[in-house]
Amino acid sequence: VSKILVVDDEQDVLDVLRLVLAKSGYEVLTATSGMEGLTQAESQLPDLIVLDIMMQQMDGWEVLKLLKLDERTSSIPVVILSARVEPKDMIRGLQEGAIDYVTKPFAVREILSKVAALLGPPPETEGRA
Amino acid sequence: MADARVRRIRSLRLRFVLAIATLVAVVLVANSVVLALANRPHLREELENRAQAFARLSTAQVCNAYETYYASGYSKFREIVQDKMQLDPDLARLAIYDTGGRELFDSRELGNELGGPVEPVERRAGDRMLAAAQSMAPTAWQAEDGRAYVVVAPYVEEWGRHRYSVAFTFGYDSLRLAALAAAWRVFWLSAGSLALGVAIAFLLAGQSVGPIEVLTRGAQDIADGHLARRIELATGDEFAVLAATFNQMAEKLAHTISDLETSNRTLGQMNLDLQQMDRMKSDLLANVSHELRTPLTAIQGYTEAMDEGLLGEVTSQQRDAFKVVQRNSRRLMGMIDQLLAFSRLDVPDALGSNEAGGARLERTAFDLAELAAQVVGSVRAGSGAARDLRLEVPAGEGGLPPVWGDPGRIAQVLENLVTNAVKFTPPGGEIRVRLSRRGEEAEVAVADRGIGIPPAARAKIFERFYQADTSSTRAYGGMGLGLAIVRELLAAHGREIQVESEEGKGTTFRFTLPLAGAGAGAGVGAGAGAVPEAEATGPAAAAKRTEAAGPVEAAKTAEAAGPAAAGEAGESIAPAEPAMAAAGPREGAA
Repeated sequence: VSKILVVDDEQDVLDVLRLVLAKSGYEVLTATSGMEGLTQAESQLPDLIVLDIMMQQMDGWEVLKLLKLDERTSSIPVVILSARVEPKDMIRGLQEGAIDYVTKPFAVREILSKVAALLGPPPETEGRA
Repeated sequence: MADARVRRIRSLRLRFVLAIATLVAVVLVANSVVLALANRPHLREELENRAQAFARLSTAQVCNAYETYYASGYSKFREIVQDKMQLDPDLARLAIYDTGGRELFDSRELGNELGGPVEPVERRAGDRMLAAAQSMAPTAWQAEDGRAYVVVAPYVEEWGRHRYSVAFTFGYDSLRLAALAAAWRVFWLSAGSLALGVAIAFLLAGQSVGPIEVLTRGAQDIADGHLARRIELATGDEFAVLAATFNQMAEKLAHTISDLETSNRTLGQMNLDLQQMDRMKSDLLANVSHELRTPLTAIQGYTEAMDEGLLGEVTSQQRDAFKVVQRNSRRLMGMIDQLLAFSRLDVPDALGSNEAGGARLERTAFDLAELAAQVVGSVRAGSGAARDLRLEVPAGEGGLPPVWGDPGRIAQVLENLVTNAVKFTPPGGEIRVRLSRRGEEAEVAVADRGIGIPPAARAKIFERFYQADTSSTRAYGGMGLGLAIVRELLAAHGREIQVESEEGKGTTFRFTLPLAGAGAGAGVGAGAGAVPEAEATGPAAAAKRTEAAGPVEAAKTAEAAGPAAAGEAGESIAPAEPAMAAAGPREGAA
């Protein structure tokens, strides 16, 4: 089962992502700060990281930079999920090593299809009507 | 410039001197001429009087000497005559006539000292001389050549016997010499006066031009910006008054300029403050729109998850409710996008730098008709479903040539205009998006048959957060940013948005874009070739095509969006309109 780490300081956003990703059959880890996200990434080595940018204390740019510097985590694909919609932010995200950039608010289907494209189709669509 | 001024002053001085010199010379010449003319008769008269007096006094002596010494002792007579003649240098000749007119003696023939008397050749007096010689009274006349004066005086003996007359001839030559001498004196006098006059004129000119030069230098200094400069001029005349007035003016000028500088600085500071505030406001808008996105993410995420059935079975009533929530959160998103778009536009250097948030235009040649079709299609699939919304493009070969601009921005302009038209047009109403070619430009007109805009509001609709009627915010929704964004984006293209409107009849917004060929300077071959054709067949063909193809196209667009979208457009969104309207009052009451 693919492990996905979601880093966002908004608990509600974190919850809804955990809900839809878990329902699609992925194993979901969450972190509510950049520091916690880094720790989790290093200890759990997830298959994919969904990273918010605008967070208190350590923001997403810093987390991304440190992830890419650490050779244990540098190969983990990172999808940025941000309320910043300016093209320059998207370009920066991709330049700094993120594999994709999704703007908030996102469509659940969009997130799921991107995750599926990166990790392969979800193993099980339990509870799906 | 300074040279010209100096030259001018010199010429003024020169003119002054010349004028005074000329005046002096004219007066002197006139004086001397008048003097000479007046003096000449007077001198002549004096000479004649002297001649007559001389004749009266000398006649008796001369005749006595003649009688006594002529025959016996001629040398004595000669001496006496010579003495006599030396008494008056003007006396040129002395002659003695008897009363019969015979000449007895002529001073021109005195002979030598030792010789005897020289008998004149038998000479007879002329008629005039004869008459004078016979007369008992002295006679005088001017010689015929005008160069001599002749006085003839009789010699009368004791017993009244008239035996001789003496003719004295006085030359006028001394007169001419005297006149010449006088003229010479006048000349020197004139020359001296002239020199004196010129000298005085120089002094006077210096006195009157000097202050002007001082004033000029002072004025020049002040003109060069030395406002503290004052003109010192203590001549005590009108020049001093002028200098004082000038100083007052300079002082006032200095005051005014310093006032202006102060208010300029204040204005500059205010302007900076305003720019700063504007930037802060834009930052605030940007931050707010970012902050608003996060809660919306949770709302939309959960709604979609529920709609997908991730949280259990959903009834059709619940599903309808989810649709309403989703539609409204999409509307909210649209507004947030507008806020963000506007905050980016608002930064003063937004169009010049990337720093400001990427509002820089990315111009390229693009197909306006295709872009408009996309925008119209998406609006029709969304909010415009219940209206008769159609796009009219010029038909014919080539159609509308590519235009020059930032397609993303123009799409936003079109979307805002069309959405705006939809908002103010009741269901079933007509909205037309017309593209046409106007020379080297493409014109876009978005016309609705809505409520129209009151004339007073027409200028304000492009201001941000403005809606013609404040109550319209509730009735029509939106934040009043759409048209402001339209104006700013077109301004970035160097274009203006125009509006025609009639209350109750509808509103038409128009703008133009340059054709790609025209903008680049070199004509695009296909575009240039298509001109006559497009113009000839444009309007009629366009009208036909709209009628024929419009609805079909609409159907196609709906189909192209996929079965799900078609279903939504047909079943969910259209019937939802009344529901949304019904929700209005509830929201207002809450």
